[in-house]
Amino acid sequence: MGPIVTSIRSPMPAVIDGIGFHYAAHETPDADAFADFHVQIGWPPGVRRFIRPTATFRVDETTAFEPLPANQGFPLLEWGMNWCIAAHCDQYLILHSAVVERNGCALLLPAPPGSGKSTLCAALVARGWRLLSDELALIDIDQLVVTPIPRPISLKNAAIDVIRTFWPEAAIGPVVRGTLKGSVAHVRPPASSVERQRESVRARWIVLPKYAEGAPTTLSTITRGTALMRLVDSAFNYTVHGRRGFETLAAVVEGAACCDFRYGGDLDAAVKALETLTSEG
Amino acid sequence: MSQVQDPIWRVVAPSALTEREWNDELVVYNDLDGHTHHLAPLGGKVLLALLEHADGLSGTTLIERVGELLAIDDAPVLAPAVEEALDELGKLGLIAPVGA
Repeated sequence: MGPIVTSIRSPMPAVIDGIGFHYAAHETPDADAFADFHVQIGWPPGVRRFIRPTATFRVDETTAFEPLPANQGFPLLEWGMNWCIAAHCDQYLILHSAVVERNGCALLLPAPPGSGKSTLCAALVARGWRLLSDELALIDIDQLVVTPIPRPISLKNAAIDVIRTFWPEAAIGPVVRGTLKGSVAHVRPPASSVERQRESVRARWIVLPKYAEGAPTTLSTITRGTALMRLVDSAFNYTVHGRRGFETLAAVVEGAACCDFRYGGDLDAAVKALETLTSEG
Repeated sequence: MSQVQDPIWRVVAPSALTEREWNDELVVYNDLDGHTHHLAPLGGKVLLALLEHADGLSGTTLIERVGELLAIDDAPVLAPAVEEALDELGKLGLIAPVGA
């Protein structure tokens, strides 16, 4: 996926089916090809599988998280791969941000959990924007471009049905209930986005989304300083890069229009507002 | 103002700082502690003024210089705000009085 090669092994049907459904458009390298990460989603050892079936996440032969109920195997795989990338791929400056592209430029949607980032991302992709990532903005420090890593869009709770209604053609996998984040379902990334996963783009818009139920759609310009501090807060490995991390984010901010964005239930209005923003100049 | 009442202020480690100024706001990265600060307009001007003078500036001179940067020719009005900014920048570890 994108610049990352992951070897995944699992005997769990839900994981195998999830990979088959969500990653159908992705390349599958030879089994002996180099992999950045060797991931296993498996059953617990011994008879525990039959007493309390859980899914364990192991990367490079190390257990990374507490086991989760077996039905959460595919979400665990997605969360685990996010962690692998965020914690290890320091060749990039990595932001907790959705990234979509329109007219050859990237729109960053950095936001903490619960801000409606993924819902907005899915809505934009539904209207033809290219998906670069739902979760991680990989900023190439040398080129100052965003490297795509199109993977399933993670929807939670009410957002699942919201997107089903807004985007009836969306390929949404099974709803997994009872996770730490509530009910979770993933949207398959469009094949067109996967096909273009080697096309990096510069960020031209930084939009800080905030969902508030019933709120009108409002887009307001923020200062570059405010935007930069939000990017700093959303970065996983800013401190790793030190001064260069600051210079990278400052350059990204200098090349982008920066806005706060509030939206409520009207996804059409939200998409329209962002289409207007990205049509200007 | 005596030396005791009007200390010389200087930037703790000028070479450790990287800054960007956009309109009236200053964002500064401190390589010594890895922190990034978004400074209010006056604080930004105070820091920029001190960065111009590696040996530091007295409070009185600093007020004059900040007044020039902000085009405000009213030292009595500016003085308490500059003192507040000095205190804030000091707490952030960006500046310190000479000899401290």
